[in-house]
Formats: sequence, structure tokens, C-alpha cells
Amino acid sequence: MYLWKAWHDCRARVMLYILVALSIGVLCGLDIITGANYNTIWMALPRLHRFVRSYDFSMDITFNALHWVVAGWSLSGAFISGAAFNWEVGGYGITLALLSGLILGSTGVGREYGADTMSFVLTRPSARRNFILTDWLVGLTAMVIILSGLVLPLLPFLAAVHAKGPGNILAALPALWVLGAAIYGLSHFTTLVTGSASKGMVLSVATYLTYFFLPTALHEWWHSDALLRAAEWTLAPFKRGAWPLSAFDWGATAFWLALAAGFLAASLAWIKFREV
Amino acid sequence: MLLHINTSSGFPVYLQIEAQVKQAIAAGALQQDSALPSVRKLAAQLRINPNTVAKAYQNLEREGVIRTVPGGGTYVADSSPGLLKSEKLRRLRPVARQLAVESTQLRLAAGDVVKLVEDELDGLGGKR
Amino acid sequence: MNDLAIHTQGLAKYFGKTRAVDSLDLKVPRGAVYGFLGRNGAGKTTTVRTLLGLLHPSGGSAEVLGFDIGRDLIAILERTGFVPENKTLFSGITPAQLVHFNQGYFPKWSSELVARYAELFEIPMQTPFAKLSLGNKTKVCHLLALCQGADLLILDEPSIGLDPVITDLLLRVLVEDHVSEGKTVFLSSHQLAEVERIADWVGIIEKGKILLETRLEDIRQNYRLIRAAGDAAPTISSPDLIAVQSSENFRSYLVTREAEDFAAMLRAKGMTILEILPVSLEEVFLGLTRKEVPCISGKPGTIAAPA
Repeated sequence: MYLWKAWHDCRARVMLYILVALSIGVLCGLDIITGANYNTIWMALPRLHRFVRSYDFSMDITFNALHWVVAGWSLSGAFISGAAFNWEVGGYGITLALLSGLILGSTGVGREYGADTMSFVLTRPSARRNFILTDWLVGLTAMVIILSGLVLPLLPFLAAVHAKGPGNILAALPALWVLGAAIYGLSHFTTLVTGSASKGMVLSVATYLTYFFLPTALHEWWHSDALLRAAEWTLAPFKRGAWPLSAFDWGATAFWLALAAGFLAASLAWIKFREV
Repeated sequence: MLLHINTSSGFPVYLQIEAQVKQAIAAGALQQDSALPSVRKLAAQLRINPNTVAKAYQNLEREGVIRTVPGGGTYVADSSPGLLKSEKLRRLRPVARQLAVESTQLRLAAGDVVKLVEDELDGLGGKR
Repeated sequence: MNDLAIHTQGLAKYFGKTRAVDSLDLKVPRGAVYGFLGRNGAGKTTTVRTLLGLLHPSGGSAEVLGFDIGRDLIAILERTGFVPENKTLFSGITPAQLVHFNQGYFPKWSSELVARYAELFEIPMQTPFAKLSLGNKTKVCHLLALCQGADLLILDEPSIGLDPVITDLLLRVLVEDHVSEGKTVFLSSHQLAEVERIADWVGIIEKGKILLETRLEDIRQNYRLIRAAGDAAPTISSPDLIAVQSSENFRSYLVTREAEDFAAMLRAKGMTILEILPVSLEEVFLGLTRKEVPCISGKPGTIAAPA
């Protein structure tokens, strides 16, 4: 059945990303305990490090999501406060979500159009929506596991240093899942529409770049902060700055959830109406 | 039983089957009460539509050449004992007419034609 | 439940201005082996894809095995084995895995037939599909369709890439395991000789419309080619006449029935009858569709099977 195929097509990559997620999670965890500064990567690239660090990250006006995400790749030791921690979760988490969502979404049923096998798939006795739903079932399960695999290994380390962090991480996790779902949805939809994994990925990456650069461009050249503020708002669950466990950010989470649902609905409609 | 049919000749397939079955009986290759393959088996063997085989078998049965048993199974019937000689001759008349027409066109004498027929009958090993 | 495996009424499929299928009336009786013939671009594959829900019809209606293609498509797909024109399946997967993928969809799947056909057709079951030759790919497509327990088989160009031995085996398997069990076979093919062997019905499509739909038996019994000669060749118009060829003072008339009467009429008009011959399926097909002398019967689509 198609469930077998959906899993078969992506299992190698899922395993890879789970491994990557766990590795980063464990490294971050070790960093917590040792308090050491694993800034080796940045030390090796001092100019990049200086550039990234020198960028004004004041959240109000010049927020630039991409810089913010990349800056989160550092493993600085400032964990105990729990404040900087969400930044790392945001940095690695969003990057991981972007990559794994892109790759997993592109293994979806859309590829069969380009491979000329869609006429075989759609003549199996199954409602067309089942192919989309099965892809999403496998994809979302994988995304949740991968993203959890990044964050959960941190918990024992945080407990060991009695950090005030853990609650914040767990609060950030659902937001990360929902973000991952939206990114998976985008990639799955672009693969469906273009009929091939590579074309779908090009379209998805174009979308990423638009999200990251258009707000800044608008600000720089047309002096409008509207999009900047909107982009900042969407990443609220991961912003630096401590927030209590009770202040789960519903707004931005709802936004990503709605986006994910929108892509799912769009994929369902597309496969229903498109002819082979 | 091994038949060989040619689908690209103008000669209808069911007639080819009928002719070859009769030939086999005449030459003694199929004895009285020998079993014939089922419609399905023969159709599969010859790679043709079962309806064609069914038609041939129906015609052969109507002529009394073969008989089917209610439980299944087709067998060579005993050699038309119920038919009057006049009926047998009537059946043969079209073949005789064709022989007459062709031999007239070729300008053969009646005696030569009769000798030809006798040779063929001898060749079948005296089933007359 | 009616007694037609496939029944279309005025079925139409347009691609912009192109009328790929144009008011098609197809009647395929249950249990028949129906040869669906037509030139490239005549609408054969478009028709098949529309019947299987891959394309949405622009007009008309169609029922397969008594189910409407718009409302009950899944019921149709559960009971229909399909071999598509392009014999492409998932590339990184082996035939054995494809069997595993496919069998979950069909309760009547027969693993015993899989084993038998895999051996009979010499299918390499453990080689990834992309690495198979065209012939082997075709065999795998057939394997998946034939082991389904389907009531209807729709085969679009079934012999592509198959050598004569395997084609011969395929015909045997179709006759023995499917036709003899009362299943319907809908065969769309350019191999007229093969179709003529195993089909009992034939339908010819041209420019999206049915030109002719009749039993093969009708063609064998009634269709005749009348060869005639004469100095003054008359213009003949008759609904029974489907093609004429002429060269100098020779004429060939392809008629669908009452050849003797037609010959008598020709004699009355001063022509000499040379010969009255039976015709092959290929001659009927070419007579109807060849470009030099197109079909001249009353109007297309009127050549239907006698009841």
C-alpha cells in the first residue's frame, strides 16, 4: 500500500536527520554542563563571526530573521539564564526545520508526476486525498521526531545544572513542530505543483529567501517596516528574552498552524483537480 | 490433439479447426471415443478466442462428428451410423462440385479425376 | 447491472480547441475481447485515461462495469486491471516490492498467479525497475494487472517491447486465465494480427469518434472485397460501402454486407466482377482510415454491429 511506499521513499533521509538532530542536541547539552565555549566554528571564521555578532539584533526595527537564525548557531555558554537558550533552539531548530522540511516534503507524491508514474498511482483504488494524507502522516511524524530529537536531549543536561531553562524549551517545542509542519507543507505542495523534487525545492528555497530578505529590502529601499514587524512576530516563540512558561505564544503558533493547514488544503485540492 | 491454424489466410479459423479434426479422424489419429481438449484448453493452445473453438465444436457436433457429455468432455462420435447414405452423399456434393469445376478448368478427363480420388482414399489407409 | 462492461454515451474530452474524444459511443459487452483500434492521435489513449478517471470528461457519460466514472471511480478501479501505454513504474523499487505495494489494494489478489507468471514470463523479480529492459518492464506491468483478480482488463499497447515468444505466452495466458473465466478484455493495440486472433469484437476510432463497432464474426461472414473492372466506373453511394480503391479501369469495393447483391448491381451498371474475397481486419482498418481514399460511407459512426 502507499504507506509503505511513502515511508520507503524517505526513511533514509529521516534517519539521517534524526541523527543530525540528536547530535546537535547532545553537543548543546554538553555545552551546558561544561560551560565551555564551543565557538570553534566561529573562531575558525573570525570575519564571519565578527560580521554576524556585529549585526544589530535590536528586535524592534532592524530585525532580520536570517541573521537572527544564523547567529543562533553559536554554542555560547550563556545557558544558565535560560534566556539565550531559546535563541539556540530557534537558531538550530529553525535551520533544521527548514532543511528537513524541504527534503522530506520533496519525497512526496508530487514526484510521481515527473517520473511518469502518476497514472499508475492514481489508478489504484484509493481516494486521491489518501495519497496526500499518507504523505503528511509520515512527513509530520518524522518532523516531530526530528525536531524533538534536537530539543529533548537537552533536558537531562539542564536538569543536571538546575537551570531555569527546561520549561521554556518545552514551551518552544510545539511552536517548532508547527513551524516544521508549515515548512513541510510548503515543500510538499511545491513538489506536487512542479511535479519534481528538484523543481519543488527550487520553488521552496525561493520562498525561504523571500521570507528572509523581502522585509529587509522593503525596509531598506521603500522605508516600510510592515513586513519586518510581521516577520518578527512570526518568530516570537523563539525570540531572545525570557518568558514564563505560561506565556505560550498562541498568535505566531496559530499563524504557522494556519499556514500548514493551508498547504494541506491546497495539496488536497490540487491532486483532486489536476489531470494526468 | 495438435492442430495448426493460420489466422492470416483468408480461410476462417473455425473451418480450419473443423477440417483438421475431420482429417485426424479420417486418418485414424483420433479414434472413436477419443477425448478432445476442452474449448478453453484448445483456445489457449491455439491463442484464439474461445468462441471460435466453441463454434467449430458446435458445428462438428451438429454434423455428428463429435459428441459432448453432459458432465463435460467432448469425444469423437462413432462414425455417423445414423446417417443415410443419401445424406452422406448430399454432404459431400459441394466438395465434389468444386472438384468437378477445377478439373474442367484444367481440362482433365473424368478417368484421371477418379484415379486421383482413389489414390487419396488409399493413402488414408482404407477407412472406406 | 447491465450486460456491458464499458458503455459510453456521447463521451467527450477537449483540450482547448482540440477534440481528442468527440461524442464517443462505445459498447463493450461483458466477457468480450474487444479490440480498440485507431491511428495514433485518434483518441484511443485519451479514451482509456478518461474511463479510468485520469482525465475529467468534457461532456457525455461513461459507465464501466455498471459504475459511473464520475461517482464510483474507486469501485471501477477495484475491479479493473490496467496496463498503461507508458510502461513506467517506480524506478528504485524491485518487481517483488511492487507486488507487495500493489497487493494491499486488491482483496482478490493471487500470489499463486504471481509466482506462476513470474516464472513463465521469466521476470527478474529482484532487479530495480529502472534497470530492467523495456520488455521486462512491460512484463511487470502485466504481472501487476493480471494477478489482481480483475473483472475487466484494460491493456493499452500490451505488446510493446515484448518478443514474439512472450507475446505468444501473453495471449495464451489471457485466453486461458481470463477470457475463459468470463472476464472482459479491452485491448488497444496497433498489432492487428494479434487483435484478430483473440478478439471477438472490434471498435475503430478516428478523430475522437467511433467509425465502426462490430463483431469480428460479422467481418468474417459479411464483409467482402469486390474486385471489379469496367470502362465506365459508376459513382456508387451506399451505406454498406465503406471504401473504394481504383486504378485505371480496376475497382475494389469494400462492402459490409450483401456482397452478392452489390455485385449484381455493379454488373447491371456494366462492370465485370473479377472476384469476391473475404477481408482481414487490417484491410477493413486501412480501408476506413487510410489517407488516400478516406471512408466514404454515409457518415462516420453509422457502421454499427447488426443486432
